[in-house]
Amino acid sequence: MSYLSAGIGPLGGIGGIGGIGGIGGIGGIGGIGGIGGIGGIGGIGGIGGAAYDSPLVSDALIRSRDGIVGQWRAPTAIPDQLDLEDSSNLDRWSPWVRAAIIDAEMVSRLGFTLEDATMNPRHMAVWHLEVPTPAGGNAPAPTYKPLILMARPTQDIFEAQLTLVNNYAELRGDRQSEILAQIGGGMAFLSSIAQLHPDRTPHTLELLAAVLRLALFVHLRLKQGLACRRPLEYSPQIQPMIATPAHGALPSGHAAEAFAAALVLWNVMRAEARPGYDSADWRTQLLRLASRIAVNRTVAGVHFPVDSAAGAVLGLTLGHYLVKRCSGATGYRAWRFEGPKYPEDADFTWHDLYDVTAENLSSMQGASAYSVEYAANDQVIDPQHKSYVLTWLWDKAKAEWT
Amino acid sequence: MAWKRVQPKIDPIAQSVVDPYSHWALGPGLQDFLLPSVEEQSVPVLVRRKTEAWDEKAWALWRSAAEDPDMPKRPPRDGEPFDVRFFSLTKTLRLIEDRKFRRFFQTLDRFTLGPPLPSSSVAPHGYKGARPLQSPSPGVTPDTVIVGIIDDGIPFAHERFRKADGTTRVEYVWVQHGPLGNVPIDFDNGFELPKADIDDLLTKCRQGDFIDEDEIYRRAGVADFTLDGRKSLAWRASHGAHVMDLACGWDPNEAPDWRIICVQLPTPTTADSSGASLAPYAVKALEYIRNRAQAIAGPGLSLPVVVNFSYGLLAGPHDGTHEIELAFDRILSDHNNTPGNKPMRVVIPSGNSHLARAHATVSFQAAGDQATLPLRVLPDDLTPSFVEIWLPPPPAAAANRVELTIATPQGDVSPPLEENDSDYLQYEIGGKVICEARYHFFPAPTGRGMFLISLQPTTRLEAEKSPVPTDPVAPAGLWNLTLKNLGLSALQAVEAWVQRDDAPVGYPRRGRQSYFDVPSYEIYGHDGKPLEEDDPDCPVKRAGSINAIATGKDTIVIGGLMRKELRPPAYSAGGPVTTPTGAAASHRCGPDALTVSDDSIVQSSVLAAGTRSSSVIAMNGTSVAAPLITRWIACELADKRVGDRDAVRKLADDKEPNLSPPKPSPERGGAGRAPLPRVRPAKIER
Repeated sequence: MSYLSAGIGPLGGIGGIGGIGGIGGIGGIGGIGGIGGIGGIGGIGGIGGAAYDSPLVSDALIRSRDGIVGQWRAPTAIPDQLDLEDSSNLDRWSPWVRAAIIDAEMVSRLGFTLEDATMNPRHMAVWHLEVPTPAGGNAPAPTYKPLILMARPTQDIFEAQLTLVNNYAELRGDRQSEILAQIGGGMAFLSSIAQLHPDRTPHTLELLAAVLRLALFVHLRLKQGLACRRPLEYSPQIQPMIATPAHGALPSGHAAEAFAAALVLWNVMRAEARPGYDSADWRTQLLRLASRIAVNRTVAGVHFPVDSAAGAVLGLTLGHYLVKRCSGATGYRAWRFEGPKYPEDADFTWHDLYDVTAENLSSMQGASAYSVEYAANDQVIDPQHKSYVLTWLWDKAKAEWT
Repeated sequence: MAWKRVQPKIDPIAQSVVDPYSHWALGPGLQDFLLPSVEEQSVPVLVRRKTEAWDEKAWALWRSAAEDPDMPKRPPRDGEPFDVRFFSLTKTLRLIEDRKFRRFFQTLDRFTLGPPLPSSSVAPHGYKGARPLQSPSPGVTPDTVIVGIIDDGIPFAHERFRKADGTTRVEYVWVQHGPLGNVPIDFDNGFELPKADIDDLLTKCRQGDFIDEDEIYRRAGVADFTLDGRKSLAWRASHGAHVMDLACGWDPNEAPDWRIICVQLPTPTTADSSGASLAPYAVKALEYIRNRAQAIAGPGLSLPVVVNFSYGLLAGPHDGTHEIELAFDRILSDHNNTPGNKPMRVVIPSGNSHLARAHATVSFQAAGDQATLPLRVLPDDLTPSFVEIWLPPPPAAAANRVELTIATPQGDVSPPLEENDSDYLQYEIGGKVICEARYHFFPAPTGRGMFLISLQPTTRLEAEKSPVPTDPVAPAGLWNLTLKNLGLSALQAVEAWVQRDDAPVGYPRRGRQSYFDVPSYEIYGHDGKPLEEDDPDCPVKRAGSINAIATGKDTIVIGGLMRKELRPPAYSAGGPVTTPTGAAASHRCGPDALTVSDDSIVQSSVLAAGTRSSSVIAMNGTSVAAPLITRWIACELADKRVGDRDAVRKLADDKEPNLSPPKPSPERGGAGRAPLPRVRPAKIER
């Protein structure tokens, strides 16, 4: 997985978290941090940093300059200054620097709230902030638009889901290698379907790293808000086969990340219209993979199936939202996850949630409609306010899939 | 802590026909016989009559015991002399214990219990949910062959069993346990999936053009995680997938008209190593395949059938009279002797226990001689252990020729248990039975007596409704079984087998295999390899470790072979087979032939299907050799040849002259080695 790390450097910070969890490689966080940590710094800093930081080289550079520098003279010509806020400048920066910029673009447009006590159930809401360019010296006035609302399932649902977690434990021996390899996320598995490689698809890897971080920020914020206990807190007999991460159960981070990355990947793969990539086969296989990664967490004993359902809905919503923001679209689809309506004994079945032919989340009907669209129409976003940073990344990535 | 002799309370007539394991299963071993945490359970009972026709009074008693209004008042006239019915535990006990059923037992020669099913898997009396038989697919031609598979984890949606048009070649699947809904007509438990249902699932469970096998098995109820119980088809590999691919898997574009009928044995039975017999399920499975094959052929017509049954037991009479062997031979001979019927064959593996140290032979030089078989009972064995000690046929006048005493690991020695003893022995600690030993004479056609020693598990985790164990455990260690000769000649051998106590492929291990731990038994030769030949002076014998349901007359028995070395793998078990009482010689001395179970000693195993389309896994054992012969027989039957035991033996005979020696002994290798072409990969070398 390390080769997926190209350009994810900025989360050196999160890599730090990974380090702590690192005892763990424990969490989804640890994992992604892990990618970050190894990533940008390793790949690029590796060559640059190591060479310049070496006492040998720096001593040699001092002596070398002394030997040839000669008398100081003013330069005869200097370059123009770079343009302000210009996308072409992004080419100049280290991938880890870009990642920080991309994160700022993504996260600065998100808001999180919990509905007040007048609402039952109380949803955690994730908002998209539409930020128009301010006039003169005025502060911008953002508009909040819904992205996803999520309500936590009832205690009865979690209790009933415990039986499923126990039933899935049968497969632990069969799935052990996958589960361990996926502790830090499932990127190596995505690259078994699409030809991802840091030399061939560096920008797609940057884009996937970006969507993973987007999913990470959102699902961790939601987990904090929804505060759902893990299966092993309900029974001493779950005995997960890996350490249970120290964050909430719902939504499943692995599900959110895997589904979001799968959706972004097939969208970028087909953006240059190479024949084949637009077929339902590619997205089906990527979605099956995402589902398997999610289900493996239930096999391991760290997630309820309902966590995977919430994570899948979240990931598919976020992936779709990021694709729309990157590609300068005029709108995106907002969604609701109604946890209390989840049927108590229902397993996680990805194709109940997503229509791979129509390419959208299926809005459910009836008393157990736990996954429903927020509104009949797309949330409108003005392409004028699109992020040139995200567009730059998208265009670079899609050029890799010819 | 004491041994005691106990007088049986039940009627001697019932006692004489009830399988001796039943007394343990319903007595001191009840907690291991029953399914944990299942409120209502149903026990299958297999009875075999002395005569073909039902005695009217016996039928009336059987009918009253079953309390089944659907059973006709008059006994049925046709059919085999055996029958399977499900009873509640209470009714099973009443049937055995209530003396009013004496007349019923008088007409039987066997009464065998199988492991229970949840009652939710068994059709209640008067159940009307059985759907009429779904019409089989039409278009039967002279080339059509039926392949039957009785196994665990049968991947009926797998592409290796589909035709070029994408529909399945699987005509019927009977899942012997599971929620009722479509109980196969004429059967009492589980549910049936006919071809139309499978084709429907293959059409509906798709994303785009991709068939979603997870979803098919989930909807079919065999890998649905909202249900409890084992889900062999959720695994990467299953015994049934591998076996079925070798027996009848084809690239859809190359598949001949081989139609498949499968029976998934109940998973609790597959997992069971409590000693209860899978006979009721196995017998019904073969009847089911026969009946459905007949339905496919159509009225008045017949299709050739070959059935693969890759299962095994260690202990049994080993003379062709195990109840599964008797029933299978009877079904086969009835079918094959009916004019107009095309052939029906059954293939069974010879077993993997050549080195299990689970077989011993004792001969005495003189009266008064003693021989001790030290039984090594292992710790951490969560299931009971059993040893069967078989005596030679009795002389005309009843005599006490041998007596058995048992010493516990702590040295408590039992009083002797004699041949023909009607009392049995129990060893108790704190009022709980740890060990039981009894003598049982099996009437004709077995016509021999056996000592059965039953031991509790050596450890327990918990008890029903108690988080700490309360049921008895046996001490692990050496249990010395001492036989004293009172009247056997030097030519009359006593044969002992430890019963199988091992987990099947993919199942968690619960039992641990006990074995005879005799110091003189050499495990390794001077070259460091496991020895495969016996020392004549050591009572523990590799020879005769053959699968205890593989000594029948008509079934075709296959051992393993390493393709490269052309030797049987060390585990492949063989005869000799005990000569049936009254016969001049045995009808077989071991397997009929050997075929490939391993590509080489280094590349052990052969490749065949995992549970999902396009997946391939490696598995070995005589279980994977048998289906290769099943496949060969299917080809023979399609070409209108007989494909019987003699044909398989001729296949090996014809191949032997071209193979480098040594030819394995007839006991180990039958007629010889018959390396058949690889099934997977078909087009490249492994």
